[in-house]
Amino acid sequence: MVDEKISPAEFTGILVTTVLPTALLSVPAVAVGLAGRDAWMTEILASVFGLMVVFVSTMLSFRFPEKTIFQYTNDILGKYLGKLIGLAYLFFIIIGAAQIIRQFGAFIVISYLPRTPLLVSNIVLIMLAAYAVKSGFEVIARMNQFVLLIMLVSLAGIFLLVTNEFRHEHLLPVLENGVKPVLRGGLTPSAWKGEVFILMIFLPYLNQYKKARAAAVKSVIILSVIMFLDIVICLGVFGLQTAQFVFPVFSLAYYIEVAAFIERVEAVVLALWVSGVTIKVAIWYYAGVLGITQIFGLKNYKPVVFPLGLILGVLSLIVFDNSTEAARFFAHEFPPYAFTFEIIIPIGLLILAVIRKKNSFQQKGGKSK
Amino acid sequence: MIKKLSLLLLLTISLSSLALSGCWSRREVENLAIVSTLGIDAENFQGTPKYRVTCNIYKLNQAGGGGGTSQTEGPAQISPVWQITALGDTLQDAFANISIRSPRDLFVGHVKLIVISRDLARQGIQEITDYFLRNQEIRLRTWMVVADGKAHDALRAIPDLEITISEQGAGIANRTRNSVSKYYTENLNQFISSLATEGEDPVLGRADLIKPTPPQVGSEKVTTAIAFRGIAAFSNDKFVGWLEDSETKGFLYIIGKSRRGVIPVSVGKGRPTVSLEMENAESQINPEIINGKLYTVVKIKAKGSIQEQGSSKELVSPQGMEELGRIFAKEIKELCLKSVKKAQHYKTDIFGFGAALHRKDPAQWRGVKDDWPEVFAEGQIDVEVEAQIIRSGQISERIKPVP
Repeated sequence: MVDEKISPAEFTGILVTTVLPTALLSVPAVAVGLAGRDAWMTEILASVFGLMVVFVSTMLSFRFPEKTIFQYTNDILGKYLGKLIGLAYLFFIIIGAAQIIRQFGAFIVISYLPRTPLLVSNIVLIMLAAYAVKSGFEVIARMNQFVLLIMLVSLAGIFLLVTNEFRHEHLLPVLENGVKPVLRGGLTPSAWKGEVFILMIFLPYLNQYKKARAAAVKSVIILSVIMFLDIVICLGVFGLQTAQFVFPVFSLAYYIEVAAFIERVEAVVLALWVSGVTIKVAIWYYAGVLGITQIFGLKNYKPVVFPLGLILGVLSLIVFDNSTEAARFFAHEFPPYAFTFEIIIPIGLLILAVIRKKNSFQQKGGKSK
Repeated sequence: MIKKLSLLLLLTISLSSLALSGCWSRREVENLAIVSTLGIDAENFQGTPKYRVTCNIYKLNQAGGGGGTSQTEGPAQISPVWQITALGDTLQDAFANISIRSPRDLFVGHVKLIVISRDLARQGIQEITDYFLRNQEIRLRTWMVVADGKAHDALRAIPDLEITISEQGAGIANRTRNSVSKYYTENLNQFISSLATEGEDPVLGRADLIKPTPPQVGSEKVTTAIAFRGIAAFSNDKFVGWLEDSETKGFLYIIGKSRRGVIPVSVGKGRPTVSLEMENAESQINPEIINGKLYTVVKIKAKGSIQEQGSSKELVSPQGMEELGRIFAKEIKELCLKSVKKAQHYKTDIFGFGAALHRKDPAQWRGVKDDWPEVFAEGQIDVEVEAQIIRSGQISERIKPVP
């Protein structure tokens, strides 16, 4: 059913954008809050976890290269249980999309437009994303290549422009309280990085599915480098108070002043982040739409786009009551919740698939059972 | 097809005109009261402690514009800023009380300088910094200074060279700071980050209120001007005492942030006749705890150049420069020890010895951190200076008058 195809480079880009835009804003504060000066080490854990997720999900998906997780759960678990797991994933993705929209709406309201209702920024974001989803996955992937590049360049600009404020003393002493806080603090960044599990949904779009693993590994590496710099620089500039900032990277951009004329660049940052987050939402939105289409066996995904947009709009308003609840959720409840979908269920599915010898190739060559 | 396209185009254009009319929460510049400087005092009003917030607001049609045409005498000239002050239970409350007199919305995004009064600083400024961090308009780069007196008076000082006191103050805080090293000040972020660092107490600049003599030409009124000199030492968020300008130089040498500045020294006996220019210096702090007592040797490598030579000795020779280097080193050491002594007297570790110990040996730090102010105050802190004179300016020896 998939007739759109993307290249491995675009696949890498999609996976980076799946994680980056909101992780960039939220992870430093959570990581520093839990792991203190050693927060940068949490990224090491997170990248190991990210690689684990990549290997498990590609191993699983390689058995069914033309199918998404919503489809091959049926092959592995049978019709009813398979649909149930598919619905669980759908739930995770729709709630995830609502959380992303909410987070970004909150960011806009707190930092730029304090008197604008949250609903307005959320609706604008959803409308843009809905347009992208309607245009198709190929369009999202191409657009992403363009936006991601600008985002990375502007990010590099921010990081470079604050280096003169960087104080390495903020990172010392190393491991003062042992590794425990680092392990604890690593959970949230890991859960975030684990969002690359979404490749189980988008693998059928890749034109050469065998290159998926390399592309995903590449995206995890890119993400790790960026997030590592993100945490280190926030920590070096702001010290332990990074934990108190709601959006440390934004404060970083706000803080830039070089040679008395490069200053107040946060408006540029906003423009780029809006485009990044729009694509992130579009990716999750598309995954949700695809899930609904496949689980319920619809022929065309387009009629689903608008209703799901409405659902997302409402959900994004009620998914968190306030910003502290969101921060608490990402620090405490999010990791176990996300791990379940990112690695535990895939491992279970993989084991079952291996035991029951399920894969697409077999089925093509005549049913073996 | 063409018709359909042009219809679509027309629709797009007419729809986008809806968005052109403005933004949701737009704030036009003519509806803003742009605050340039903030002064914050603590006051007792009918027995209850209150904040007094003073704002200097730009009069947009006057600041920087026009000029030259009016021939009226000084006092009659209209001030380019509107100064307004109000009391409030909290800072935001005081701002609200200012707003009831302001026809425009207060906008604090352009504040360059926050002046805090000495008395308020004594009580602690945690609440103030929290307010400014939480506010999305105030920038983390805003300079903060402690006024030796009332902040309200500091804001009323005359901006001698600039148009407003905000430019005057921010210019001194930012530009001239590095060329005299007689004062030092930090911005909001730097202040907060040393407040949040274990074993380091923050400092802010000291804005002194002075009566310039002679008073301004043409005005009989005695006016006030601000001068930055020395630093305000804090213990946590509470102001505990001043460091004088010479002690500030010592402080800057110890923390390795010394910039240009002058150190007058005397060669032989008598009054100081030689000016030595400070150059960037490096410092190393190496604290140790032995039997619960702090021992530190601060190692400083300094360079200097001759700027003024009034002594009768011939100093611009290898031997003379070497001797001068020794005198320079001795002088720096004295400055440093003076500032250490003052800080120990105030029991506030503005140098961050505790933080250095924390970085070097977390286990030792845990043993002393609970009574660090005492440990610091009784610590044995020594300074070793290696100084070198590297230049003598445009001439070598002084020119001797021949009778």
